Amino acid sequence: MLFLMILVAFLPAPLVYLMGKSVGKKVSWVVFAVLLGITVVLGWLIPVVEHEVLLEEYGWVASPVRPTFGLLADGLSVPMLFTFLFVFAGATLFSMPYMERRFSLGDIEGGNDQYARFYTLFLLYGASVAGSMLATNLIEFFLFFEMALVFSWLLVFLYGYGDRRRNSMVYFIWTHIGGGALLVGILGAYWTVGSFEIADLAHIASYPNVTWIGVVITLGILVKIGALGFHGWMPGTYSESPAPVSAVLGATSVMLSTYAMARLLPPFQPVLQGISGWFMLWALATILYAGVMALAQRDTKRLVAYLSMSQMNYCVLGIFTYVPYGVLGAVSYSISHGLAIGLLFLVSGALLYVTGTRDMTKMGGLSEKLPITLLATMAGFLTIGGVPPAVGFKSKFILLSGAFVRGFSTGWLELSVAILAGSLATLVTLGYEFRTVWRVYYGKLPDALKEVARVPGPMIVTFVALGALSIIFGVWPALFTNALDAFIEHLFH
Amino acid sequence: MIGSLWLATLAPVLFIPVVYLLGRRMGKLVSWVTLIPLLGSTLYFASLLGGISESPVSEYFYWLPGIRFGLYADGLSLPIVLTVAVLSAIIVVYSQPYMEHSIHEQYHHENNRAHATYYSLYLAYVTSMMGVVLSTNVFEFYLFFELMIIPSWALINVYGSGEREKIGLMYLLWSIVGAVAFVTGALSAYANTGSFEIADLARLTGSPWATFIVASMLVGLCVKMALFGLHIWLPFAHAEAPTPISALLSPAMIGLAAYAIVRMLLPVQGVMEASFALTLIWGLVTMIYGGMMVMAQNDIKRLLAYSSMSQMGYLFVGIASATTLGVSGSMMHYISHGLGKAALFLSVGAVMHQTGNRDIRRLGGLAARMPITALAFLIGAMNISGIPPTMGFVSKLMIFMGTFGPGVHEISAELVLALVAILSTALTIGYMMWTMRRIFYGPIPAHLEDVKEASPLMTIPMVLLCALSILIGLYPRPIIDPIMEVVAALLV
Repeated sequence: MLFLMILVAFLPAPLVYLMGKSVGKKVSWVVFAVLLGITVVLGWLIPVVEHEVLLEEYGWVASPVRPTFGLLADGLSVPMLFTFLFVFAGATLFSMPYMERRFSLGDIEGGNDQYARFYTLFLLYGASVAGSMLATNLIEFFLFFEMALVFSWLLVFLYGYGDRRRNSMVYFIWTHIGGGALLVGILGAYWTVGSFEIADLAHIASYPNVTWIGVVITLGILVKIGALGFHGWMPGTYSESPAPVSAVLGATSVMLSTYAMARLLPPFQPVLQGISGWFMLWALATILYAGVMALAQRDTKRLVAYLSMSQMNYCVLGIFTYVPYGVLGAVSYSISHGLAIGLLFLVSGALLYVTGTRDMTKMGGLSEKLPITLLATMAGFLTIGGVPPAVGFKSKFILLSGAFVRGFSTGWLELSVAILAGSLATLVTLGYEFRTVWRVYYGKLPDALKEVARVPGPMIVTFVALGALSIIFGVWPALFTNALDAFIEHLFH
Repeated sequence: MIGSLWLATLAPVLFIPVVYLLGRRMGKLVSWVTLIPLLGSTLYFASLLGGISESPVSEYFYWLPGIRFGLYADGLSLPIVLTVAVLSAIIVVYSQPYMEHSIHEQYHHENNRAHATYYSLYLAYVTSMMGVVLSTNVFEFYLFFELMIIPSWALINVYGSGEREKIGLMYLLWSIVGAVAFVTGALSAYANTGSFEIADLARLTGSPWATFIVASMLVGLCVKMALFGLHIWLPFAHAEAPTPISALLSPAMIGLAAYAIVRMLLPVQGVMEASFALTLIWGLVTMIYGGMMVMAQNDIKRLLAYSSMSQMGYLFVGIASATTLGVSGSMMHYISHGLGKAALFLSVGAVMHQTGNRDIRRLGGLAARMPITALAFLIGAMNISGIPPTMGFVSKLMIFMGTFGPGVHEISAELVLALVAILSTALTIGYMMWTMRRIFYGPIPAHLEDVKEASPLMTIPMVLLCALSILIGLYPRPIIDPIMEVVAALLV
C-alpha cells in the first residue's frame, strides 16, 4: 500500500502537466486532490502504527551491493508525513488565488503553461519529500532528498521574486554542500557496516572510528535546517519565494531535517554523546541569533524566515539531548513548527496579496479589516511561542523537560543551554511575535489601506484548516504522540 | 477518566460555541446563556463542600504517554475554586448592563459580534482559572496558567479603556516573564524528581537544587501576585480592563498565585522557612507601598488596583509565616479579598456607569443618590480592612496569629516585622475609609445632582457579594476547618 501511495503521488505529474496546458489554473484541484487523498490515508494509518510497523521491500539492483527499495511506515514517519502533506495540501489550496496574482505581475511569460509547470513541480516536490520520509535505505533516502532539492530549486528559480536567479543559486549551492556532506556520511556508514539499510545502522557505534561519520551526517543536516553559520541561503530563499513555496520549503526544512536526525543519529549516541552538548550550544546560539535578527526585520516574509530559522533549531537542541523526552519533544516540535511556519508564510503571503506590500512599517490597524488573518497569525505565533492551546505548547514543554533532564544529569554546559533556551529564547520569541502583531494589526490604519480587499476564500479555508489542526493536536496530543511514543520506546530500549 | 469534576471545570469552555453563535443573534442577552455553565459549575462545587474533608474528589486521565492529568478537589482547593465560580457567575450578570454601555461607547452602534466575543473570552478565562486551582500536575498547571493569559489579554486589548492596546501588551509581556521564570523552576524540578505530579514536589526536600527551584517558581508566581518590584503591570491592567474583568483579574486571578505557592512550594521543607525574614519583608514592603500608592491616586479604578497589590502583601506575609494558622489565614483572605474587592470594583463600576466619571476629585456625596452602591462599597471596604462582621476580620486575624507564631518567644527581628505588619493594617482602614468619604460623602457637586441608583442587574450582584461575605464572616467554620486540615498536612 505504501508503494501505491508513492505511485499515486508521482504518477499524476505528467498528467498534471498535460492537463495544465489546456485547463490552466484549474489543474491545481488535481494536485490538491492527490495530496489530500494521501494525507487522509496517512491520517488513518496513525492509529495503526501505534502497534505495528508497516514495511514493504522490493528488489532493485541485484548486485553488487543489493540495495532494496523499501518503504517503512512507523510511529516516526507517519505522523510527520501526515502533517507535512497536510501543510502541502493547504499550500496548494492557498496557491490558487496567490499564483494567479503572481503570474499577473508580468515578469514570467506564458499563460496556461505556467500553471502546468508550476503545479507539476509542486506535486513532484511533495512526492519526493514523501519518498525520503518513507525510505528504508540510505541511497533511496538520498535519492529522494536530492530530487526534492532539485524540484524546490526550480520552484524558487522560476517563480521567485526579486533576484531569483541569484537566490535560487545560493540555495542550490548551499543545500548541495549539505547534501554532499550527507553523502560522504552515508558512504562512510556503508564502508563501515557494509550495508545501506537504515536498520543496519543500529549497531554502527560498536565499530571503531565512526565518530566522524556521525559528525558529517549531522553537519549535512544542519545545513538543511539553517544552523548558525550554515544559514546563508535561508533568509533570502524563504523571503523571495512565492508564499506557497516558502510555506512548503519551511515545512520541509524543519520536518525533513528533524526526521533525518531522529532516524539516522540515535545509533551514533554512544560516540556523539560526549560532544552533543556543543551541538546543543550551537542550536541555542542559532535560536538567539535568528531571534534577534527577527526583531530587526521590517519585511514580513524576512521576519518569518528568521523566526523559522530560530525555532527550527529547537529541534536540533532536542535531538542532541539524547534523552527520550528530548527526542520526543524535538519530533513533536517539528510537527508543530511545520504547521505553524506553513501557516505564517501563508499569512504573510495573504498580507502581500491584499496590501501589496511586505513592509510592516506601511501596515497597521488591520485587525478590523482582516479578522481571520489576525486569528491565523495568532494561531501561528501561539504554536511557535509554545502557548496553549496550540500544539507548540506541549511539544516545547516536553522538549525542554528533556533538555533539563540532560542538563541536570551531565553538567554546566548542558544545564546552562537548557535554562537559557527555556527562558531567554522564549522571551525573544514572544518579543518579536507580539511586536509584529502590534505593528501589523493594531495602531493606526494608514490611508493607503483604508480600502483593503478581502482575503479570498481558499486562503481563509487554508488558514482555518491549519489553525484548527494545531489546536486539535494541542488539546488532544495523544492523537499523534501515541504513535511517536511507540517509536521512542523502541529507540531507547 | 473524564468525570463530573472535569465536566464542571470544562463546562464554560464547552459552552463557548453556543454562546458565540447565540451571541451573534442575541447580543447582550447572551449573558444569561453564559450564566448557565457558570451556575452549573458553582452548584456542583458547592454540593461537594459538605463532605470534602472526609472524601476529597479526584479524577485522572493520561494526556500523553506517561503524563497524567488530573483534577483534585480537597478542603483547600474546593473553597478557592468555589470562590472563582461564584465570582464569575455573579459578575457575568453585572457584565450585561455594563458591557452594553461600554460596547456602545466604543462602536457607537449595536455590535452583537462584540458581545458574542466578550462572553466567549469570559468563559475561556473562567475555565483556565478553575483549571489552575484543581490541577494535580505541574505541566497541567502551567498549561492552564498560560491559558489564563490569552483571554484576559484579549479582553483588555479589545474592551479596555485608555491606551488599552499598549497596556494589554505590557500585561502580556509581564505575564510571560513570570511564566518563563516559573517554567524554569518547574522543569528543573522535573529533572530532579522525575515526575510532574504536584504531590511529588515535596521530594525536592533536601535536594541541593531545592532553593534554586523554589526561588524561580516563586518569582514566576510573584509576578502574577504583583509583589513589589514585579508589580509594574498591575495598576495599568487592572485600571484599564473593563470593570467586570477587573473584578475577576484582581480578586480572583492574582490571588491564585498565592494558592499555588501554598500547594506547590510550601511542601518543600526548609526553603520557605529559612527565608522567613526575607519573604516577610518583601510582603511588608508590598503591603505598605501598595497602601501608600492608594492614597496618591485620583482615579478610582487605579486606586483599587493598588489596594489589590497591598492586599497581596498580606497574603504573602501569611504564607511566609509557614504556620498552619498564617497560611490558612492567607487562603481565607483570598476568599474575603475576592468577595470584598469584587464588591468594590462592581461598586465603582456602577459609579462610573451612572456618572460617566472616574476621577475621584469630581465625585462626592453620592451616598444619598446611590445608597445600595454606597453600602456595597462600605461592606467591601470593611471586608478588605478586616472589620467584623465581615469575613475579612476572620482571615486577617488568622494571618496575624500565624505571623506571631514563630517570633513570639523571643524578641527577634521577626517579631518586630510582625508588629509592623499589624500596625500597617491601619493603613488599609485608613485608605478605604478616606476613599469612601471622598466618593460617597461630603457635598455633592452640581453636575452629579441628577445621578440615580444603578439598575438592579448591577446592584443585585453587589448585594449578593456583600451578603456572602457577612454570612461567612458570621459562621466561617465550614470553610476554615477543611482549609486548616489540608494546610496542616501540607506543612508537615
